[in-house]
Amino acid sequence: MIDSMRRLLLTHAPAAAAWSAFAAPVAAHSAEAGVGESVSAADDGFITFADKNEKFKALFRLERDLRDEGITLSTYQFITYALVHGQRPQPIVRWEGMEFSYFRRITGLTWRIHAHNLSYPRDLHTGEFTSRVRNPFTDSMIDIEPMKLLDDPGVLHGPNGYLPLDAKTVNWLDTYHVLRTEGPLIKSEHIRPTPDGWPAMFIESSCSTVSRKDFFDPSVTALPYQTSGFYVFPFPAWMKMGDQPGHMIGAWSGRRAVNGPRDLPRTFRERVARENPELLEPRWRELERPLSAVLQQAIAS
Amino acid sequence: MKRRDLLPAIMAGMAAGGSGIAMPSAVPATPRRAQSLSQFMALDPIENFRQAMRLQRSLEDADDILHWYHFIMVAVPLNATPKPVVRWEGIEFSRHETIGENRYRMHGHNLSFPRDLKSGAFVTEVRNPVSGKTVAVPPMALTQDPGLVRSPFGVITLDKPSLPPRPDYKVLRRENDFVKVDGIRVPPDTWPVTFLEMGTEAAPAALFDDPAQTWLPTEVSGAYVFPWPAWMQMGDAPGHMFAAWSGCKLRSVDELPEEFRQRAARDFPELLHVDRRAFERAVPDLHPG
Repeated sequence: MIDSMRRLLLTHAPAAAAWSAFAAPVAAHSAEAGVGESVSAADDGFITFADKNEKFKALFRLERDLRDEGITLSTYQFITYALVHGQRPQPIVRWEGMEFSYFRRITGLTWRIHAHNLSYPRDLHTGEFTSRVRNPFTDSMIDIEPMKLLDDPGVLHGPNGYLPLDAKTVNWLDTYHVLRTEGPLIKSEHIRPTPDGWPAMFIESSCSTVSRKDFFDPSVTALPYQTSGFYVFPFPAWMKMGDQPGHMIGAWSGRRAVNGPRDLPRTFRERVARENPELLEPRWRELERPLSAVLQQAIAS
Repeated sequence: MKRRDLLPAIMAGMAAGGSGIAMPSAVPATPRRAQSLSQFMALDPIENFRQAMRLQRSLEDADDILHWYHFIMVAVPLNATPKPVVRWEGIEFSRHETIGENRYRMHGHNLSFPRDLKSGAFVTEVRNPVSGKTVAVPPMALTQDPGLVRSPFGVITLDKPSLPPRPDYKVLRRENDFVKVDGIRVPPDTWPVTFLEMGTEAAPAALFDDPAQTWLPTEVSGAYVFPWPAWMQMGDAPGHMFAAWSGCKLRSVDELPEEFRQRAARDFPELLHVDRRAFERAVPDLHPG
């Protein structure tokens, strides 16, 4: 996109005169289990599924792996921005990171998933690892630590949505998920809900791309993808924003590390191996923790 | 060179890397690479500009550049949960012409049609998830772009041509079989404060490494922050909108999805071409930067 001016104007310049309210119907296609029915090469359109089970299988195969037990490792870079109410948004820092998830089917089409994330800050301009950045809103230098997310309680994921393992009631969180074809590609757009107890200003959305050839190959249980997305989240403590109203946005670009940790970028992998080698392995012990009665009820029902 | 001919092989090829994982995924068989590559490209400012220009547009002295994309708008009310509002399918169609060494003048337009979040069907109204009201949402056709001049020094928006160029952020990096440019576009000070645009554009590294390729096929993704649009009817409510797109650069309108192209041809036929008359307008007092 060359010109953000047009984007600004478009939000304030509605209503082209020649617009017609009547449009041709959208091309829709069926896809059984995400792999069954072919879609012609010339088509671009939205994919529909026979039922929520089939749609879920397509999603899980894309984001995880349809086998009974598996791992998914993704690698990405993202830039975080601060948005202070009434002020110009500003980029703060680049990160390079990974998400490592490990999961096991517990019944039917429901998997138990645990995961950890690790990201290192990098200089916005040089890309070098860094430990200090400037907060342009406070005009101060701030220390910034690697981001380790190790306390994820885990989640059940199935056709009804997500159920965090620390849930107090059985309230599956539905998600927004759309699959569409773009010629030889399949795109998966997924907006995740905010679980109870999370900060109000939180949303996460991704668009993952796979080849249609892989998508319709039933032998592929875990699809290689490229992904981009964003998330909105509150100011982290290290930003030292006090009570300023506003929030952060992170925008990422990445891919599945298809062959596991050896497929991580070298400098990143070497740093993890040096500082936290245990995070280059799936933490299978997380899956040994007993499920609460609420969760057991959810699985049984 | 068509994107549709290239990407399937690249998507398959990205599954590269070593073996040795305890539980390999059942993924397609692909060649193995000794090391997974991720590298920032250290380029001088001129070359950084030229390679970004090549990725985002082309290095031809004059060229029409077409981007096509889907994007989803999300409402971000202050201190409340962000909520998706509407999907759009659109194009940005622009032209650049060189006006000096490594200096380009650009004009273009955008056209987008709203689509239902879930079904993907074209829509004329959506539910504002913050207010609960159903609001009319018109297509977005913008032809009033004043144009800009882009050079290694930054961007001059042609409604304020005498102002110095605003530096912009472009970092190029290699990621296995792709070369990516991460860009952040900061608007002029005269714009409403709640505005920022960021994006990543990726081209096959094999083509990037061939200097004969002046135009590169790219996949584009990105996002922008902007104030409440009038059609959301948000009044003075604190907060803003956010939109994230995914799309690609195409060679011609003939490559547009049939449904979009047919509607554009019916409702806005003039927007399937770039209006080159914009280049005939003189730009007095253009900053030399």
